[in-house]
Amino acid sequence: MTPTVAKIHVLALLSLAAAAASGARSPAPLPGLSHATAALALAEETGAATYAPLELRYAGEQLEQARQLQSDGEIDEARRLLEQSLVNSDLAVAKSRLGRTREAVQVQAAANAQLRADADRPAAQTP
Amino acid sequence: MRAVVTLLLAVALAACGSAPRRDLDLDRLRASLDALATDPDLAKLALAERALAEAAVRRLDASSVNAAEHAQLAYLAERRVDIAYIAAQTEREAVRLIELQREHASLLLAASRRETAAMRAELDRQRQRELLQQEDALRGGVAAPAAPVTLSPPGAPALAPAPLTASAAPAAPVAPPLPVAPPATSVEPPPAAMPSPAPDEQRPVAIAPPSADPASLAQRLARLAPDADSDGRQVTLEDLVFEPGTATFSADAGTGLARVAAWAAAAASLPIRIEGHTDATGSPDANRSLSLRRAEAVRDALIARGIGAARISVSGEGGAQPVASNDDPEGRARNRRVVVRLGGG
Repeated sequence: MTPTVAKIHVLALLSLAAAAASGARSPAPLPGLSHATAALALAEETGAATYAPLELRYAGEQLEQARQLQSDGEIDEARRLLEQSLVNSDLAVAKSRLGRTREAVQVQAAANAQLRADADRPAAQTP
Repeated sequence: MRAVVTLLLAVALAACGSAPRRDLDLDRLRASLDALATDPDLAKLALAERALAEAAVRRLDASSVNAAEHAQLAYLAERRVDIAYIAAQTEREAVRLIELQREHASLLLAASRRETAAMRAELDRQRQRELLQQEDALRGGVAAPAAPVTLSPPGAPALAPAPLTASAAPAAPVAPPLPVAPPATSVEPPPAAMPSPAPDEQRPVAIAPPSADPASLAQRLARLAPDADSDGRQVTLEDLVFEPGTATFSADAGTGLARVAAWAAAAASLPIRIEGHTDATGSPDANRSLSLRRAEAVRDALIARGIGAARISVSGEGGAQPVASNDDPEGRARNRRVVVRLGGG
């Protein structure tokens, strides 16, 4: 083996090593990422910023961390955070729906009370 | 020595075979799910979310001893149980909201009905005001000297009724004496008892509608006589005897009331029936009430003029017994009346 051939072999090995390293660091597919993203968007749409700000913040942070871990190649940890983000988004949606429904109940109850008061007022004024 | 080792091994095996380590997270979450399933208000609500929570708890139960995996599954299961609770509460609130919306609809309906009733009442009042304006318009006329007219109670033909005096008719000092009109027994009254200021006024005159009689109320009351077709047993007081819409006598009413009292006093043995009538305008209840109050006012006036209260009965017929059409002002004016009838019935 001539020195030139040896250099070529060394360069080839280095190239293969670099290619293998770069291939290991490319983002692997992360199932559930789109689902968790959609769940977070739904939570924001249903007013989670008002009714469940803590869960919404958790969900957003966990989703962001999951993306970061995915890009770092830590797929298992990314999947774990993705599950937490999804369940926190679902919890935020549930809390938002409960909050909105309770508000509607309060508004309706107040309107009914006003109608009843209006109905009683003329009778009370009648001698 | 071998026995001791065997014993120690048996103890160690027994210890290993004893109750497994309790999973507090699992116990707590199961207890929460059991409480949700037995809650009388929430048990039948949010079944899908509860199924997801139960599945998460089962995954936790089946998890390995890997601490990280267990913590992850406990984290997820705890939130799924929370979601199941919250979803059930949301459904319960939604049911309550529907009930409140139904109640709101019924309250709106009741309010609408009240508003309709108020509008009807306002229309009634408006009609009443129009009626009063019509009566005011009909009330116009110039007072003229009263003319003596005969009134004849049945059963007293031969007796000249006592002329009205100031004491008998204090409210009608200008009323002339009341000679006798045709009696119920068909006995002619003595001609001498009939003053005749004018030929037309010698005979009894039934009250005509105001529009048909241009004379003033005082003039008409001064000529008040039994109704022509009543056989001398009935006198009709027109509504202008009263203030519009009330049971208060007008200023000129005393003349007619005095004549009616004298007419009734001449037949002291007969009971007296006083009926109030109105036209068909306005609500029936209001009309009956007004007609009864007017009849009672006439009764009180007769009692004040010496008629025995025990003889008199009153009724308010409202607009149920019209004598003319209610489609025109003249007819309605005729229908508004008080009838005084001798002999009851």
